[in-house]
Amino acid sequence: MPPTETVFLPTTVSIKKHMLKSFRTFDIWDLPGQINFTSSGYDTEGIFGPAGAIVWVLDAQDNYVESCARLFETVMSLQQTRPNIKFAVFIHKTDSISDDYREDTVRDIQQRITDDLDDAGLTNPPITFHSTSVYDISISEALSKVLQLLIPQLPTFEALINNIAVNCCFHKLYLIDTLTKLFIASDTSPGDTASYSLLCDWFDTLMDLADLYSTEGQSNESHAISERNNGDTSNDRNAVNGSALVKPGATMSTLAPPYITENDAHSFVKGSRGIDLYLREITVQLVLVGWSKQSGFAERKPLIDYNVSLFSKAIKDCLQVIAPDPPETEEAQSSDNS
Amino acid sequence: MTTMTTEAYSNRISVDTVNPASTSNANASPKTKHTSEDEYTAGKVKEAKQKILLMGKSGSGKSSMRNIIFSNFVAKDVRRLGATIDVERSKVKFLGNLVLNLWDCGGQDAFTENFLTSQKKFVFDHVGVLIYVFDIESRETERDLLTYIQIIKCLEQYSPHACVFCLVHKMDLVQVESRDAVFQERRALITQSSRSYAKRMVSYPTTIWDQSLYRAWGNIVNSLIPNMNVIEDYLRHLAESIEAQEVILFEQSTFLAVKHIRTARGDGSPYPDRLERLSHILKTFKHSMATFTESSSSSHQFEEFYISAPTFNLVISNFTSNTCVLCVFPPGDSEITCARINIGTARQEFFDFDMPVSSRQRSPLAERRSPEGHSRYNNSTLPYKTTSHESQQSIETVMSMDEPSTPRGG
Repeated sequence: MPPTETVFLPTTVSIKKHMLKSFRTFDIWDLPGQINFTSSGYDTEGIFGPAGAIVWVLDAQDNYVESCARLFETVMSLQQTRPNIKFAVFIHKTDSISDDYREDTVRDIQQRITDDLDDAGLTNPPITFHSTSVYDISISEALSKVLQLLIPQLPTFEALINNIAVNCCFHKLYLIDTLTKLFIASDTSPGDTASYSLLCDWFDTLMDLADLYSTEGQSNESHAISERNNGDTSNDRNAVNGSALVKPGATMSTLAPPYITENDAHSFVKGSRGIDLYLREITVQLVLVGWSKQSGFAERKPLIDYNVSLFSKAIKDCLQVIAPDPPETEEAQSSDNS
Repeated sequence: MTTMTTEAYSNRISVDTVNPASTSNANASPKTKHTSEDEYTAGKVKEAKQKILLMGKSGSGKSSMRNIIFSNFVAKDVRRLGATIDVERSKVKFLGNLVLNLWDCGGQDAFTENFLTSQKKFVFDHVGVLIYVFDIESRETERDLLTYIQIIKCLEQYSPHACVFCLVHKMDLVQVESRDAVFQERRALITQSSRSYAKRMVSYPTTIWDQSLYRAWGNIVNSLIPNMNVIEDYLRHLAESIEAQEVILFEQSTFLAVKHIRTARGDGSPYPDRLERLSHILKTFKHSMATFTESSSSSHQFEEFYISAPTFNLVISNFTSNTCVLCVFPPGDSEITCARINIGTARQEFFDFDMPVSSRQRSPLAERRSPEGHSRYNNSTLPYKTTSHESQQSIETVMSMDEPSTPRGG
């Protein structure tokens, strides 16, 4: 839905549950804001029991004092029963506030809430703050950070990505979810919104192009098989593609149906201003995207491809084990320091 | 191959002769029956400018479209534009030798009056193309048509061979269901008023908010390119060499499709409007790149762009100084390498063809274009072969295209 049309959305009056299917499934519960769910009479256990993180949306344009107080109550009551729940405060609708004032507002809210919690004896509350807007990429960035709170493998992912970013001269690397474009992990260099925004736009471009041509490729498959039966490799490839066609998952984004793990989709842009973009599919749900301004990056692409393929294998191993074993994956990674 | 191209060149000259627009400059060649080869080597054809008039009622959106297509504006930015005063002339370099001389004529009544009386000859002489923009929201349809008829009369007088395009603009304001009906009705009215141009007049429904604008302008610009069959020849050759489903040549700054080749392999695409969609998609991407690098959005943003997916490969590569080529071909890593080499080779040949005549004869100059790329690929072709024999032959075929170009220049 384009951001301009969100004004037509009705008020949420009951709990709405959404499911986010990625490499893991996340349940998102949309709670109506006018009801206090921590008060007695509600099934707090049922609502907050399975929750891993709570996103609290504050309207930065409105009078936020009341909302801050409500947040305070919620945090306090939940901290007693379930201290593992993490809070993320989205200071929302910041697009309409001018730049200098925005900083002030964010700082004010942040100060207010931490002070209150501090006074109540909660010195290190599990709260993060994000200033967001639906009109730019900031909302995706903030949601990504929230998702990352819920991923147990995150440190491993970050270690792997850092390793490859340093060794392959990537300026910034993201592991993004193909459906939502949220990033599951990134290298730990200071994040900047601009590169995330560019890479998301690029990913959109690729999706649009894939949309135009991927179906066509499928209809050609029979063509291709009948045409070239000489050469083992081409036969192999066709066989592999054939198996992709019967794979379920048609509801996924356009990349999903034809893309398979044995023959990862990849893309590359050699920019004319020294900026190169790199993308490689890891699984159906995850792609690695990054950019580099290292000169000679394009020439060294085969080497990078090789490193990324090892990285990809490490990530897949990681996803398969429920509790990741960091030493083992580190070892797998160390072999690609070529 | 050689004979075909020579024929095509002479064909192109004859197009220029018919079209008086090619000589709008005072220093341009006199309009005599010239022998094609002389004219060609003198390089005068290369300087030919096509005069394009952009006319229509005030506020109908002429300058908005011009800025979106040629100055890389984003659709929502055009609200900043003010009214056009008198005539805004701009020269847009399209393909190497084709300069579009675009006259954006202010639409207010006072200006129109002027154009039709005192500046009549100045404005309507040597017109290659007239683009007339109708505002679908206009309440005075009859009056608009009357102005249109007057302009058509003047055009008949000074440039009887001009092409006429009518754009019915702001179609986004019409409800989706009735769009087609409204457009057909308006088209009938316009055709009636087009007098002697009625048969040749082409009209398109457009809006700046989607790809319809690119479709209309793509077709308009295509009608101005004289040597289309030569381009087509080359592209088809390239398409066959890399076994492509589709090869599209884009102008680089506008991303309008210049030529589109679809081979038998690529029949049955479910998207008939993909050319415009590609223009739209690629231009959006270019904008993102430009924002990121903080550079002008009309400058080149990428040299090469490729996607390798299990069902298709797609390469977009800079071709000549202001075109880029998009190829879609069957999947596979070796195919993509092969295609890139072939595009590199074809680029060389195309570059010769795109150059002004004077320097065409000297091939060293042409080589400067791809300093390491060409020579290196020449030597390293063999390791990059695909497994199929056809591709191996096709590389050689493309490379042999280099040869005919040298004698042709002299």
